[in-house]
Amino acid sequence: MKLNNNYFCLFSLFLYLLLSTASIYAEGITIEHASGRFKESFYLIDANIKYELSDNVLEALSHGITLRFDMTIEIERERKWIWDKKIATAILSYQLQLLPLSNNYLVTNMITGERKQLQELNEAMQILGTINNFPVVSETDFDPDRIYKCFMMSELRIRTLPLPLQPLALISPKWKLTSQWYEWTIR
Amino acid sequence: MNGQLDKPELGDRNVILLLGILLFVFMLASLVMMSDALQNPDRFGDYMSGLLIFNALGLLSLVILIAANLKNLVNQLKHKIPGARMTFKTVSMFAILSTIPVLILYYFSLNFLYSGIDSWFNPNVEQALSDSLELSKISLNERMREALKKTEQVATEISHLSDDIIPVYVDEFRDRIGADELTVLSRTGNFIASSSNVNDLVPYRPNETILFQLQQGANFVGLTSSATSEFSIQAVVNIPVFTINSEPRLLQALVTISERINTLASNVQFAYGEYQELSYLREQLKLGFVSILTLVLLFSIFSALWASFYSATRLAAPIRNLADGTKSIAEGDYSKQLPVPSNDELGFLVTSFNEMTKKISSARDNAKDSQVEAETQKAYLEAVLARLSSGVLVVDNTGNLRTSNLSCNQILGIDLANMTGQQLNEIQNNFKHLEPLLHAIEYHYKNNINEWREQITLFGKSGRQILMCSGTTLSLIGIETSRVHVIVFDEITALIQGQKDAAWSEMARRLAHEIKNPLTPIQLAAERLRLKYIKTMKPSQFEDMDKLTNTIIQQVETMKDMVNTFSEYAQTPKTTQKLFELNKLIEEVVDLYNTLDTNITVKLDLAENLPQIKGDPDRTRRVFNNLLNNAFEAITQDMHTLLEIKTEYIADRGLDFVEIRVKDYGSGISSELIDNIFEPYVSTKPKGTGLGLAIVKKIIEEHGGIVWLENNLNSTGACAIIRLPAVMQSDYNNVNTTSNRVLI
Repeated sequence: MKLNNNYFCLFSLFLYLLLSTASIYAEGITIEHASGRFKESFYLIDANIKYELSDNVLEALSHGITLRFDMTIEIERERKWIWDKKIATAILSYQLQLLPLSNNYLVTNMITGERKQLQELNEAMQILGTINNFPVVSETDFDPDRIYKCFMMSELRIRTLPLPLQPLALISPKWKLTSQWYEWTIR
Repeated sequence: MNGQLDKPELGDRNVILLLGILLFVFMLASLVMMSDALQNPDRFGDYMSGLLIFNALGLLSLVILIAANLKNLVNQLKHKIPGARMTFKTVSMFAILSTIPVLILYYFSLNFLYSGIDSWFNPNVEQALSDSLELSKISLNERMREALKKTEQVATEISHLSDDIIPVYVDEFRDRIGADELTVLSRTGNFIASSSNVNDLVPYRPNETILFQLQQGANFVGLTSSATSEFSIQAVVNIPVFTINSEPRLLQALVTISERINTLASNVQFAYGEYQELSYLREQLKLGFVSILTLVLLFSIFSALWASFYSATRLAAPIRNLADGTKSIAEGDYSKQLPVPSNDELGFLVTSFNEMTKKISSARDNAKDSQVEAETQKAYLEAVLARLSSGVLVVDNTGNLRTSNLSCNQILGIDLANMTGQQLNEIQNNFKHLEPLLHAIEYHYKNNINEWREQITLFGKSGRQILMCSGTTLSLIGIETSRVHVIVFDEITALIQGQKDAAWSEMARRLAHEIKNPLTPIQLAAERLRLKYIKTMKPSQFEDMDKLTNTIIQQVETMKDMVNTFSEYAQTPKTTQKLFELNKLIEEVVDLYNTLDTNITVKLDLAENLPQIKGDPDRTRRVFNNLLNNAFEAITQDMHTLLEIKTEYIADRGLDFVEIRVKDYGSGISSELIDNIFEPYVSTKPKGTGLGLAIVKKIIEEHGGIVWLENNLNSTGACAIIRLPAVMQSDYNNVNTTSNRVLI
C-alpha cells in the first residue's frame, strides 16, 4: 500500500512536470511562417508570428507595463571553410501598452512611429504578428553566385521592462518569451 | 610513526580553507553583482540567472559542508573523541553570536523595506488618480455620445443620397459636425467618399472588429489617436437603408477633442498609468529586495556557521593532537611529535609536550641500552658462574634465594635454579640435609656479618660432604635497604680425605722405614741373646734374662703390630664396590664375638627390609669389628654385660640412609675426648693403638657415610652412630654410573 502511494506520488510529480512543461510551451512566440522576396532592389520579408502571452506578462500589461517585442532578422552568407558571414541585421520593434483611459491597446512601431489603438488584445497581437514587405537589405548586397541564409526570431525585450521587474523577468520562465530561430535559404 | 602524520591533514585543511575562502569571495561578488543588477540590469542583467544559480549552488555547497561538519561532530561526540565537546560548544557559541544579530538585522531590514516601499504609495493619491481617470472617462464619454449623435444625424441625412452625390455634400456635413474627417464607406470597408481637414492622403479606415460590429447592426464610438492629437473620437454608424436594392453603407467621423482636454486627459492617463505601474512593481520590488536580502542572510549565516566549524576544529585540533599524543605515550609510542599550531599558549603547551616526548624517548632508549648492557653483563656473569666449579648462592636481605649457579646443583645434589625466589626456610624444610649450610648463611646475614668463612659438613643423599663456604654482603647500587649476600662454597671432602691419606701414607712409610725395619733385628738379637746366654747363666740370672728378653721380644712384637696397624690405616686398599646386606654382615661379626666371650650379651635390633649398602663388605666388617672390639673392651673393664646393636632405615625428605647404633653401657666418653675421639692416637683405653675409631671413621667416610659418638642420655655408656647412604631399588639401575659420586 505504501509502495502504491509512492508510485502515485511519483506519477503525480511526473504529470505535474509534464503539464508544467506543456504550459510553458503553450505560452511563447512562434514564427508560423516567414519568407523573403526581392522587390524593387530590396529584400522584403513577410512573416506571420503567433504571440501567446503568459499570465504574468498579461498581468503586467494590464497594470500599465509597456512591452516591447523585437523581431530580429539576420542574413548570413554561406562560406565553405569558415563560419558564415553576417551581412545584415535588422530589428523590427513594436511596443505594446494598454491605455487606461480608453482601455485600448496601443501598438507602436518603434521604427516608423506609427501607432494603432485596438480595442482587443488579439487585434494588437495580430498587428504585431503580421509583417509585410519589411525591407531588410538592398539587393546589391547580395552576390548572385553565393548562397545566403536568413534567420528570424522574435522576443520580448526584458531589458526594456521597468527596473524592479527585470530581475524577476530575467530568471522567470514565464517572462522568457522568445521564439526559435526561423531559417530559410535565399537563392 | 605518527609523529609527522599531521602534515597531510594540515594540507587538506589548508585546501579546504582555500576553497572556502574562494567560495566566500565568489559568492560575495555574485551577491554584489546581483544587487547591482537589481538596480541596474544593464551591467549584470544578462548574468542574473547564472548568478542566481551560482548563489544557489554556493549556498548548497555551504549547506553540504555544514552538514558534513555537523555529522562529523556528532560522530565525534558519540565516540567521545577528545576536543569534540569543545568544538560543539565553540560552534554553538559562534552560531548563536553570529546568527542572532543577523536575524535581528534581517527582521528590521524587512520591516524597513516593506514600510519604506509602502510609504511611496498613498491611498489618497491612488484614489485621486482613479477619480481623475474616471472623470476624464466621463468627460470623454459625453463628447463621444455627442459625436455619435451628430454622426447618426448626418447618416440619416445622407441616407437618401446616392454614392455619386455624396462626395458633393460630404465637406458640408463634416463642417457641420466639426469632425476632422468624415468618411462614407461600404459595408466591407471600401471608401465611397471622404472629407478631411488634415493632410492625410488615405482616410482612416475602421478595423475589422468595428466593421463586424456594424454588420451586426450596432454603431461604434470610441477613442483613438491620430497624428495630430492623442485622443480623437471615432464614431462609425450604419447609414439607414430605405430601399431593398440599396447597398448598406457606413459613415465614420473622426472628431478631434479640444487641445486642452486632450492635454489634460493625456496627463491623467500618464499619471494614472505611472502610478498603476509603480503599484504593480511595488510587489516585484519587494520580492527582489527580499530575495537578495534573504540570499545575503543565508550566505552570512551559512558562512558564519562554516567558519565557526572551521575555527572550532582548528581550535580543538591541538587539544585533540595532545590527547592523541598522550594516548600514544600511554601505549608506549614515544616518537609522537605534534605539529605546533601557533605561538600562543597552546603552541607553548604543544612544544613542551614535544620536548617531553623527546626526553622520554631518549630516556627510554638509554634505559633500553642499559638493560641490554645489564642483560649482557648478566649473561656474562651467568656464563662465568655456570662454569665455576664453586657453588655460588645469592640471598637477599629477606632470606630469599635470588641466584644460584650450576655448580650449586651439582655440589648440593638438588636443583636450586627452580627454587629461585623461595625463602631459605622453605628450602630447608624440603631438603633437611642442607640445614647446616642454610643455617650458617642465615646466621651470618641476620647478624650482619659481612665477611665470613666457615667449613660446613653436610650429610645428604650423596653422603658426607665438607663444604668450605665464604660469604660476603653486597649493597645494591642506589638501594641502601637492599643488601644481598653472596655465598661461595667448594666441596673439599675429597681434598681433606686426600690430605689425610697423604699424611698417613707418609707416616706409614716412615714407620715402615724408620721403625719397623729395625724391629726385626732387635727381636732377632734378643732371641739370639736369650738362646746364646741363657744356658750359661745361673738359675738366678736365668729368670732375669728370660724375663727381660721376653719383654723385648713382646714389645717388639707389639710395636710390629702397631706399625702394621698404622700401615693398614694409612694405606688406601683396593676396595671392591658391591651391594651387600648390612644386617647379615653385622650378624656374622656378632656371631664371631659371641664365641669369644659368652658373658657378654649382644642384643640385636635389626630392621627388616633394610636397604642394601654399596661398598666394600670386608672393610665394612672391619668397622664393626673395631666398634665391637672397643665395646667389648669397655664392657670388660666395667664388668657390664649388655651390648645393643640396632639398624634402621631412615628416609627424610629425599634422603635415604641406613643408621647403625652400637650402644654399650660402659663408662662413656669424657667431654674432652668426645670431639676428637675419632682422631688417631685418641683412646680411653690404657692399651691400644688409638687407631680403632680412626679407622672406623676413615672407612665410613670412604663409603660416603658419617659416624659420631655420643654418651647415653639416660644411662652410662656411649653409643656409636653410623649413617651410610642406602641404595634403594630405584637406584639399582643407576648405581654403576653414579657410584663414584655416591661414595665420594
